[in-house]
Amino acid sequence: MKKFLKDLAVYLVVVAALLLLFIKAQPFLTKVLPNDYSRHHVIVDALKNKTASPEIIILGDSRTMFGVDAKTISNNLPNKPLAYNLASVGQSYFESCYFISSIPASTRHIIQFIGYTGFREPRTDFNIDKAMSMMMNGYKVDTVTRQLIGKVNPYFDKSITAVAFEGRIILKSSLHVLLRSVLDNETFADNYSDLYFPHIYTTDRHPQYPFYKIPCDLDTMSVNPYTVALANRVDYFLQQKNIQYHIVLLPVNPDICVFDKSKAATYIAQLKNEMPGIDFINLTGALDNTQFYDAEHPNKKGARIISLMVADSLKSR
Amino acid sequence: MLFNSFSFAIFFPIVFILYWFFAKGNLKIQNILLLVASYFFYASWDYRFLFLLIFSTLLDYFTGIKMSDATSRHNKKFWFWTSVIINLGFLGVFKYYNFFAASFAEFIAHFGLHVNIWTLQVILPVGISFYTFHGLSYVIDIYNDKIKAEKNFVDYSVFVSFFPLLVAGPIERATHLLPQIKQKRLMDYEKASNGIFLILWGLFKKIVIADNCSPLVEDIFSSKDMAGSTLLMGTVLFAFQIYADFSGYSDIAIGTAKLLGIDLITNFKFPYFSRNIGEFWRRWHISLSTWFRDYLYIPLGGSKAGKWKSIRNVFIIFIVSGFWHGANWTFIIWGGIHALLFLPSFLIGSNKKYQKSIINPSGVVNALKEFSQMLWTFGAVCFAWIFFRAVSLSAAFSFIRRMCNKSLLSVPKLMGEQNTDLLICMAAITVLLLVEWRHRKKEFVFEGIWKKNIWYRIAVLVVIITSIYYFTGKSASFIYFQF
Repeated sequence: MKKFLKDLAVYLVVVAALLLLFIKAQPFLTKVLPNDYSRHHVIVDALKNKTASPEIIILGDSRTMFGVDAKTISNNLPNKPLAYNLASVGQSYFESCYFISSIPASTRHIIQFIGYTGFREPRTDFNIDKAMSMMMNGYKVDTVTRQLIGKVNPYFDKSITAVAFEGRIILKSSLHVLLRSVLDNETFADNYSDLYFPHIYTTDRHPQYPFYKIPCDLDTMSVNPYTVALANRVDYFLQQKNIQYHIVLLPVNPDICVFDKSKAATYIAQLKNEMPGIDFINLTGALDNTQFYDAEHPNKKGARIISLMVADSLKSR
Repeated sequence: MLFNSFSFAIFFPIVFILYWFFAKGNLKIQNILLLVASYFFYASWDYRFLFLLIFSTLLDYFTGIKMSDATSRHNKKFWFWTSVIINLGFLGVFKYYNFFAASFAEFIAHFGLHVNIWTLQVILPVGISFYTFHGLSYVIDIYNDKIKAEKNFVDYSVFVSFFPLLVAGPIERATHLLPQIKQKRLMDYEKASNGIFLILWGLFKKIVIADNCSPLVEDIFSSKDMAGSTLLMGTVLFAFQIYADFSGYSDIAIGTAKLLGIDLITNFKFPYFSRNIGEFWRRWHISLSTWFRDYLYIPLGGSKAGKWKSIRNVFIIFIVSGFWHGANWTFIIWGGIHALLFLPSFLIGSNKKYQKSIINPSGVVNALKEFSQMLWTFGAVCFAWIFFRAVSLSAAFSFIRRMCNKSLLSVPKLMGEQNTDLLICMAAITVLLLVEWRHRKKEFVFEGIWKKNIWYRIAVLVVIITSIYYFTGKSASFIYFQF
């Protein structure tokens, strides 16, 4: 019995030491290993950086990452204000709102990109992998965010140890990112961490373009009141800080979705009516099918057009 | 309460401490503790079915005593059949009633008749097939005068409901387990050390292999447009998923029992290294195949009943074995395929070959013949798995049709993150095969690890814990819980 208990004690100490090591190493691993959420590291660091003074902050999902060049916007505006593209993969409107309270004091414009269905979708809080990644990268929910969001993702209330333990699955995501270029016959540029234009495609067209279709009937969904209320709260908060809030409706690929222009106009008029303080920029029909890399993501040609149109729009305000 | 859950990680150490330190070698207290722990373990699934388990235990306990006390053969027979009919009746109602009712309705629909069948909206009580077979083996053995009825109700109840084997086996025999329950148990260093590493190995198989294969297999079997080669890959992945899942469960069960000083029967002995179907069934789900052999095949006359009756017996045992798994034609066909695969070697008398020997004992794959036999057997087993995994017969035939075309020669392809999961699965399966190949002469992987020095054991521990920690698959219940 004694011999076994001695062995058991050694095994338990080894397991405990391993777990402690893994948990302590998790934030570091999350930062250094490439993964689908490594943009959080870039975003959190950019927002905490006191030495730079960005005047324009761009938020949105992968369509914004690949479709908006912050430097092109900046170069086409008077005084070339510093602009950051802080979009990330799958960054829903709700996720973007988690960063609003941390926007640097120098900011004058927040440009939120959103899909044309964005205000019609049910509340989609982001998945726990993302919450995990944000926490591992040093993000903390503050009281302002709690007031803005209303009900924050409960994951943010977990202890950092519990999050680090569950965060181990991010390692699998890193493996996936490392293997993707080998397994998927696609090559990607290494600028995932870029603060201005994190466009990773090396060609203008996906080999299996467009490879999926999406429904685009504007009649099937109604505007989500929660999203509207959230946008109005964010706008009010930004107005207090003298920051202009712009919402850009992203271009839609005509190969996967053709919608009725009059219905789209009615929809946008409804949005403007319900969110009167927000400056809406409608780019839904801005690109043709050659300016898309795949079903939804603009290629570099498309990105240039979008960026110039946004700059023009800001100039005209 | 799953073996791979936090609740079990809390439950078992408590039981272990109370069992060894509170009971202090007092057999009576140890057995009462095991019974309470087993009922708690079972009630954590669904407390309502605990009453069914207790009823089944009481039934076999009393009919066993009645049989032992019977003064005439007629009386003994009466109690025997009472137990068998009620046991099988419960199994039939909970597991097979809906299947028979639906099949009957479908059958008479062929004659233009339509009936509104009454189906039971009940869930299958977890482990019912396993504990019913425990009880049946006990009453059959008493009836055949192989054992005497157990008079101590606690001891008998522990035999039926011992928590490591309660929900998914191994299906124990009274002749093997009851004497251990009645015997004074002391902590055995070798047994306990083997037990710890069996548990770890079982967790690796379940969490890293089965749970990572599971979503890929699900996607491949539900897809309608994948290439034949991808479907073939899905079939091979399922072969390893079900093996890792079920043998992983058995390893954890056997390891847990060893930590409590009890040896359970071996359930898997490296079945994918078998050289023919006969050998496969001597290595796969051994506790079930030997159960059917002893309580069904041999009483029917086995292989000594004449040529045609022997063939009939082979089909009966395989089909019943398939049907035991579930109320679906897919399982019956799966059993039937195994009967057909087994029949040629049975007819030429080579089915008993490789009873004791292991593949390639010298350790190098120099026997090309044995290696090709092993591959053939694995391929045949994989083919049968298609029926086991498919949701219906038509789905199985459609799967085979889509697999067997020229796309079978293309490179298997999955999309996006599935490729990473596939790579993890392939790496883990390679580790499984290498480790099992190295230990194939033993009763189980890591048998005798206590003889190795502490650094070797720590290295094994670190590798397994690290793999489990970082490559946890999508958590899924054990497949055999549904049976």
